[in-house]
Amino acid sequence: MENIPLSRAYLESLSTSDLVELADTQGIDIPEGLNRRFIIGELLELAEENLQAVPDPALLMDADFSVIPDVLPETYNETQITLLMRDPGWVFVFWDFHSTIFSSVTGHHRFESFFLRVNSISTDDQPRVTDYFDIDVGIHDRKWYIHLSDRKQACRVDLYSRNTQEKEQLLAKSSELLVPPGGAGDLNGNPRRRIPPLLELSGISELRKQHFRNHRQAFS
Amino acid sequence: MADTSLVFVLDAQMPFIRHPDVPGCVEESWFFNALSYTYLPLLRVCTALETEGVPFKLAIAFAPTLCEMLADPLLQERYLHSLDHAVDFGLAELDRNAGAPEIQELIKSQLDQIQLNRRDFEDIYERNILRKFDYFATHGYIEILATSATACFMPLYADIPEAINAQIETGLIVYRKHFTAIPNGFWLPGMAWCHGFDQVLRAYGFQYTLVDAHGLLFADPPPDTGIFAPASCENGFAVFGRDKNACDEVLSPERGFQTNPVYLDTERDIGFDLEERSLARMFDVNLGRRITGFRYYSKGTAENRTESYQPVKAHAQLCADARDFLESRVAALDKASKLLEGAPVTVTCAFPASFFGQSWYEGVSWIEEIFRAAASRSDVSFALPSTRVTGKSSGRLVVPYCSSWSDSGYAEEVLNNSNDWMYPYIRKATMRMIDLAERFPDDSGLKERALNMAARELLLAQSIDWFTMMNDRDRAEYARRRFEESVRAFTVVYESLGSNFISTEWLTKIEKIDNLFPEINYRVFSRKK
Repeated sequence: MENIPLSRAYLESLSTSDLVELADTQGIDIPEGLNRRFIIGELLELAEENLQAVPDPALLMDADFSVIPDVLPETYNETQITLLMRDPGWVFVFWDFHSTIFSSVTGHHRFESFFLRVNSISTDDQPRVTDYFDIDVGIHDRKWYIHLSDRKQACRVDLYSRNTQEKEQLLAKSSELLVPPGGAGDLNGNPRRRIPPLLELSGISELRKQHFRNHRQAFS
Repeated sequence: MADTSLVFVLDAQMPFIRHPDVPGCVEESWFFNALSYTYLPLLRVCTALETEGVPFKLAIAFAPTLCEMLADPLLQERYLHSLDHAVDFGLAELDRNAGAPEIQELIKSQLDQIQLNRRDFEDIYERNILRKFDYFATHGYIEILATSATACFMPLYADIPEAINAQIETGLIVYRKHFTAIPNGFWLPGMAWCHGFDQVLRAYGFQYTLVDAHGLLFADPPPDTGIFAPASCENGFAVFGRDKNACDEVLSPERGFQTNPVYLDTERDIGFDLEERSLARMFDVNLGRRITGFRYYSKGTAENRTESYQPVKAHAQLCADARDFLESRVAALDKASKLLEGAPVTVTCAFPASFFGQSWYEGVSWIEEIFRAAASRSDVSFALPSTRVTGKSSGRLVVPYCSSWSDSGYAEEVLNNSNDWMYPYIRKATMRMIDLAERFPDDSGLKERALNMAARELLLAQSIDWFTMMNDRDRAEYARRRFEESVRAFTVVYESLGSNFISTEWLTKIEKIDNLFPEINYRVFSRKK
């Protein structure tokens, strides 16, 4: 296998039966009916493991051609979840599955659904989960926008699977994201509180109005 | 006398849109328009003000992608060709409008402008306009801020410090290539601030950056001085707050100065109206219709949009707008100065440079006029931002609020249903690049070339432009293609390093197309030890 310039582009060019055959020669057990992109993911993963197992040659060799993939891959074959902040009220999460994990979880006869657990985490010296809520997601979903109500905390989103009998199974955790507090933009502040003249002159009242119009959920 | 100043900052940003294999493509015309309507006129304004002894102070953040395009011989050559075609086209327009003397005057004026741009670009600046900007910087008129290699929306990479470092370090390499000064200020693309950036930027020796007004005013607690002085972070890093209201007086699409009916209607360009045969002198319509610069109507009103453009009337209006703008700023500075009991007061205005000359045709002349008008008054002056940074403030220290200068104020324009599909790819490529920099720390030869190419393509893919263009139906296809091309090129290198085979022919081809950042060092993506 080390002699084959094994790349995603090369693998994409093979038929599904060739892929299964190649996987077989590499000792990868492919469950029947597994999507070809998962087979490619498995082969690439093995190639990467092989690469890391041998010292890197000093030289990169010239090849006659490089195969340029026509499309970007649908998956990177890793179970992970990533959390990004869109604005103080909304975060965006996207996730992916390792093919083996995905097929073993969804293939289980008791499998029910995947869900996201949105955790509020305290920002003191000893961070701990203080609250959470769950969002059911579809088997084909890979992204979600989430509104955050507790904005004095950090946030982490976990990807879980649930089956009809057993306890829920944690599949991946995002990194923690500090959720910005409302601060002076918080419209829940005391309306009678006097705004210092320099802040008024700076335009804070107008900014608050604009932000209320555009992001009222973020400041509710 | 009160110590009051206006700080005026321009964001000279442009995506890398060089297409050597597609001469005459519409995207390169965006670059030519930037030269013709913003940067060459701006240099003429600076030169005139300097010659006449009119004081002016201006800060500019030149995007490294724009610098690399300005320094590129192919684009320079193509720019001159585009001007020559525009002259041919203008002469034909004179014939076509033989019965309309008013329109003919406008055509002649546009022809003069084209000839002037050609002369300035070729003969005066010898195709190197950055050298002239650097001249104004070394003579204290202009302050040039550093910025990231590509216009990366950095808060969305805040959890990947190597990505932020790589953007900053490559940006600095390009800055040093084109400019003489050591930059004090750092321009955050999109003015996008995120918690902790003060520490990152301070570590690179920068003294200040700018955020939009809510970045300071929504801080908890907000600075005592509002937006009327740079706020100080705990480490002494200074943050200017942009006066959003002041900037909206200029930029607002509903009520900004540019909306005045006497100004040129830049959207009614004959490049979008004329039949294909007539336009063929200037460009191939099959490659996309575009701005020709030949525009004959003022914006007018909803009831009357047929009045031809009258430059004298427009000039009188821009002078009035400049005076009004200054008057409002002086009033604000005066009030703030009284409230601050004589402490130094600063109002900071920051704009996209492309707005002046391109969106608002008369905008560059308006900039000239505010400097001239300020020179005739004793109660207002302009300052370079670094001269308004006084070190650790005696006032309350602030932790600026996450913010950007986009319409949403945050990241909605770069993270929504039209562009969120891009994040799995760009984040994965970024993590892979960090991994490559770790795995191949001392490589040279072909492997180093390939790694540098991967780093270059990754930086290009991180550019905010592809993400925001996805919101624009007309540009989404181009943005998708550019983003995917860069991610695919990166992936080819990544996988080639796994297989130990790469086509040097392909590598050379991509290097020739994306020829920016030739000094790049992929190790900028290494984890800091």
